[in-house]
Amino acid sequence: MSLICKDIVKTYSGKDVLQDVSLELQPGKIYGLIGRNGAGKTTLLSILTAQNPATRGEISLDGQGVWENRRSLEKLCFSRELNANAESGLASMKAKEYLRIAATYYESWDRDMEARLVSLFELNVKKKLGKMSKGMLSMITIIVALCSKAPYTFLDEPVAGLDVVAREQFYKLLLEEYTESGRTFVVSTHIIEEAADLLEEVIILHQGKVLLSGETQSFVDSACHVSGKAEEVDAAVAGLEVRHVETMGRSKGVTVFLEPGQKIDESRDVSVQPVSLQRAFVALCGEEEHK
Amino acid sequence: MNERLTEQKSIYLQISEMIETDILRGILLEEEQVPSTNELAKLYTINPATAAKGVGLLVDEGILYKRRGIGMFVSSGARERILAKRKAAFAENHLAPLLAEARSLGISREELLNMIGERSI
Amino acid sequence: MKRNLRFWTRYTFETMGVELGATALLAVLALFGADGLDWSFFASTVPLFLCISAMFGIVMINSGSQSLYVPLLISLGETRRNVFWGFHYFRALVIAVTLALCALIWLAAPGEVSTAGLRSLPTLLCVLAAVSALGSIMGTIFTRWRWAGMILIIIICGGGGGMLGATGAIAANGGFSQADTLMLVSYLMKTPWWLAAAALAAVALDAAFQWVLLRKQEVRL
Repeated sequence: MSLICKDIVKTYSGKDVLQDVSLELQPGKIYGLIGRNGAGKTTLLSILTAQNPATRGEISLDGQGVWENRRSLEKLCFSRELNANAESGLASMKAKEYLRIAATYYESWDRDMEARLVSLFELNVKKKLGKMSKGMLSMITIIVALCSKAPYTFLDEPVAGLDVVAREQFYKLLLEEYTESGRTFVVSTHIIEEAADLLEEVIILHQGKVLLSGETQSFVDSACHVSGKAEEVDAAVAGLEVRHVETMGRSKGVTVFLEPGQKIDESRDVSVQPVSLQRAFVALCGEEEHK
Repeated sequence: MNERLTEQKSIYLQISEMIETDILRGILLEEEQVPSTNELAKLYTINPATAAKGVGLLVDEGILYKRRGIGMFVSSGARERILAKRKAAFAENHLAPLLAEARSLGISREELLNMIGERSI
Repeated sequence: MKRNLRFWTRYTFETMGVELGATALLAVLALFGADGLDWSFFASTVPLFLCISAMFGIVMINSGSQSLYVPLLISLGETRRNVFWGFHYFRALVIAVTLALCALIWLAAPGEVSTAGLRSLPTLLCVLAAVSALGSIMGTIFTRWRWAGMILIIIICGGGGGMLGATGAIAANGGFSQADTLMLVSYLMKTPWWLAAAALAAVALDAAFQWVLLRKQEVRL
């Protein structure tokens, strides 16, 4: 029962915010959706869950279109960042009320988990959303996502505003829920390295296009950091995709991405080190390729 | 177990090595059950698939075996197998870098052997 | 759909609560100017206040909450179609319950006013339907174009309130001639065709307008 996204294009005022985005989200995995600000992550998540219409392209769940299809939609939960500033009508709604409405619309809502999480996060649900801090709003988002028990759950920046202890609580909660229920989670986050170990697959969105979609491990393994004397480094990485060059005097450090079958010339006097997901991402999306 | 993970090596490799080390240290005994992939995932806050990959490696090498419906167990003879494996890899993993470093520092064969002689194994 | 209806039904009760509260308040205020506390007082004032509260309630509260609940429900995975029907179901229910309460009061307190009241129900239905359609058009505008909607709401509510007040003042000072009053009463007794047509048109226009914008609406919470 995969969620398939085919050739999605989204245009806002003549500008293509998403171009030819095609993805397959398989059941029972934790996906990470990473990308710079403005890459189109929130837009993509909105479109995947039929909250915004795509300009072109189709989203289907298990072969059935998602748009205006309640049967498909009740299997999806998009817990978006709550924005309860003074202008939005949400500001005067009590958290309790918001959760109650959410519980009405998600058939398998888990009331026990809701109570447990509210107490774990020490949330005062009688408070109005407009009076809550960014962190508290994130906690509400997390509660909705986890308690919805939706087979495909999408979280947009779930840890925004949370301190490090609360973030670690979230990762553990997510993992616990995942191992117990086998639900599919798609987490969009800026705090890449913290979440990296949880993500089985990663989708990198860059300027509205999918740059990469696959196993996190394979992606990370394909990147490495080569350093040493500049001439040696250049020789060792000749012909490979080089990103992110740093130089200091005669020394040079580069991040390379290896295609299957490619290797670094080990006969050269260079240090080769593995690279973390975050560094690989920054190298890939931070600047243009160096030839 | 309970070591911290580093970013220097693939997580699943670190998982399998930690289990091997625990077997060598007698923390996990032969024919004893090994923590499940979910428990491992929870302990290190990693994706269960990654933990499963690490465990799968050890199953492929015959160090662990699976009992259906129950879980993963340490094979008998696992200790010997791990020791043999690590001995074979010793030259590659430890000697080669040592010799390379010695070479780059200009340490001669005699000096090296003296240093080893001074330290008892 | 069932869960959707549950939400809108609950919201109806909440709105009715506010409506009844406002009615009670108006009734208490009217008590001070009343000649005596008897059924005829009841029958002549309370239904009027119920309808007025309903109108203001629908127009004011719902313009704002439409801009809140519609995107909110879509963000929770409901289809636009269901939200649209749910909203109309809610409106119809509020009007129906309001009129039912009026009818009950008139049935319970027989008399000239009550009989007249019961006969005026169709006209009241048209008026409430038209006003609620107006309120919802304003709500739709408010959802899409915040500022335009806000200005519109202020103008219409202010204007509406002002008109009611002015009418009351004129009536109190005997400003309406016998002929005027007779004409108004005749409208109440027998619903003029043009009123029914206007109400129908308003409701249709509102539904169409709302749906056209809703179809492709983006959720921006």
